[in-house]
Amino acid sequence: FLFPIKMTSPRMIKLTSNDDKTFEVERDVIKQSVTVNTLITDLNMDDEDVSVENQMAIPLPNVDAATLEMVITWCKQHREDPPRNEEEEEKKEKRTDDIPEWDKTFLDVEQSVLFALILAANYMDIKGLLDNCCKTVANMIKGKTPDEIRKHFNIKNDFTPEEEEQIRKENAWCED
Amino acid sequence: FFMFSGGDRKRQNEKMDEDYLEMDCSSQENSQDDLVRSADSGVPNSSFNSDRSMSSRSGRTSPGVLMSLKKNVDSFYRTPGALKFRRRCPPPDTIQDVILGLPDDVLLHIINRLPLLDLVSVMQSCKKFNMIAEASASWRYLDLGERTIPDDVIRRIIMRGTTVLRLCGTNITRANYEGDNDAFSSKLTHLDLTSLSFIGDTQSIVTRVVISSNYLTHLSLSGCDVTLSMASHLSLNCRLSHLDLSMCGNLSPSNLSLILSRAGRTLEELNVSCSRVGREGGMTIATNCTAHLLRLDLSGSATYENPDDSIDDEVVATLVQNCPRLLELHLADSPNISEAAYDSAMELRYMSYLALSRCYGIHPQVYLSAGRLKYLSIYGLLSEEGVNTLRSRLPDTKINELELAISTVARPTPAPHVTSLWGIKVRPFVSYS
Repeated sequence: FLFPIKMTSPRMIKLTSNDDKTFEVERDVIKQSVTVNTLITDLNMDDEDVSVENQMAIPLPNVDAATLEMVITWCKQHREDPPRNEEEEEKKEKRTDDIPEWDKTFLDVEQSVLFALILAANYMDIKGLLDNCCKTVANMIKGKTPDEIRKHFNIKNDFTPEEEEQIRKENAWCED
Repeated sequence: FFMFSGGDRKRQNEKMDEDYLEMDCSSQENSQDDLVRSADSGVPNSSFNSDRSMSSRSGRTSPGVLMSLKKNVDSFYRTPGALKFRRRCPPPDTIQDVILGLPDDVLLHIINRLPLLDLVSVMQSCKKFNMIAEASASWRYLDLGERTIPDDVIRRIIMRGTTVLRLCGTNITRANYEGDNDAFSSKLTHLDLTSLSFIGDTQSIVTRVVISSNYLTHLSLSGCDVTLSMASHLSLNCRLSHLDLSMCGNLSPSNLSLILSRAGRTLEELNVSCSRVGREGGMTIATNCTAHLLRLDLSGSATYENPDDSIDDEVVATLVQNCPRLLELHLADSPNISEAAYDSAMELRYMSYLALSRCYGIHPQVYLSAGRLKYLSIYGLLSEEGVNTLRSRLPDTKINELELAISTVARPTPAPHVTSLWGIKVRPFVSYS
């Protein structure tokens, strides 16, 4: 009963975005998404010998096609990355100036796109992508006054004038 | 049966669709329910929405017209120009506040990466950021040293969950606005209050900070005035392991006794150098400390009022008896101790560092027997030549090591660790960039 298993092409996984577009991605690439990886292992999809055509697509109801495409591009780029050690990451000093060049260019997109990417990375649990996105946003905040931050992110100032004065006084000391 | 009826239904629907197309009042948006009714009656039903009956009445209208009618149904029935006065709806969320739509934990993730100065800026931008930044882990290890800060701000920052706080050289001013004076609780475990300075009567905030901290394990009050309320609060602490009370004012035997009543049982390192505790104070320490104590600095115990009131041989003997695990002992500037004190200190099994600088009551001859010590500090007792002779006689002992001239017992920032407190890194309020 031993069937010879042909290992011609790498195993592919199908993903469906919330606007019903299906993407095919290598198993080895998508393992960076903890959410998808767990799903694949839990459903024993690795053991099945099904061709890509008949395979069940994994639905990602929180991710749209454009974002999913970006996520997959990022995962392909970072497939060779060494596995992250979360404990080590926690201990490390929090820096924001260590984003790789490729990611810097890749993440140089409109805010709405970046935030969609953050949501997708958070939902799909891709730590590396989420980290670099958050660093990018942190870099946007750095060196800005509260007013500049509000302008940059289109945030409404919802403090009353009294509250604002109180907060300003409270923090006046750290500006020297 | 189920499958069959399903199939039947499907066929029925297809038939209806055909009927519907013939009538040519089909619209993708119409619900199945409407379809059924139109098929049943065969003619436009009065219950149909108005634009539908309109299109059916007008006979075979092209889908394009239908669509446009549908689109403008709002304006179609209105008086021309009425729209001008329609209330404007706010534009749909496009990029407005998108960042605030991110989940809180993601925002926290972003905020945690900011230097403290930027964190404060973000806090001032809006309420949500203010709330999230307050919960940030960035407040946990904090260096507010060498700054001028209103007392109430310190309280507010500590309430954000600071555990390790450096207030070394901080200049505390009175808050220039009404702050509430309620008691508060802190999670502080390491607190460095070395050489604070105050303007006015802001000493109270320090007392309150100390009083609020029930989890303190490391505390430096170096250079502070020890108040009775501080002392009585410290008497309740049963976790304290490192206590730096060097150069403190008001460290009376009664205050010391209060502080050590419980802490004496847990302390591993104690520094009371230059706090002028006198003989009685020294005796209080010797009787209250236990086998937990590993390092002790009792240098400069003579009081201002009476230079003769300092620790003596009896204090050292009691100490040696109560603290058998001592490995570092500083007794510099104790003119009243003699060779007996040296002998009892040398009885200690783990003793490896003894400092007896300017203890003129001890004849330098005895140091020839100090060979098992790792370090020996005897400044001001021997000439350079004498020290060199001693060094050649005691090859395994480092005598008068300059690096150790100032004791590091219980000190928060001993020489190599100037940016951390007792080995824990703290975040300063400066931008990295």
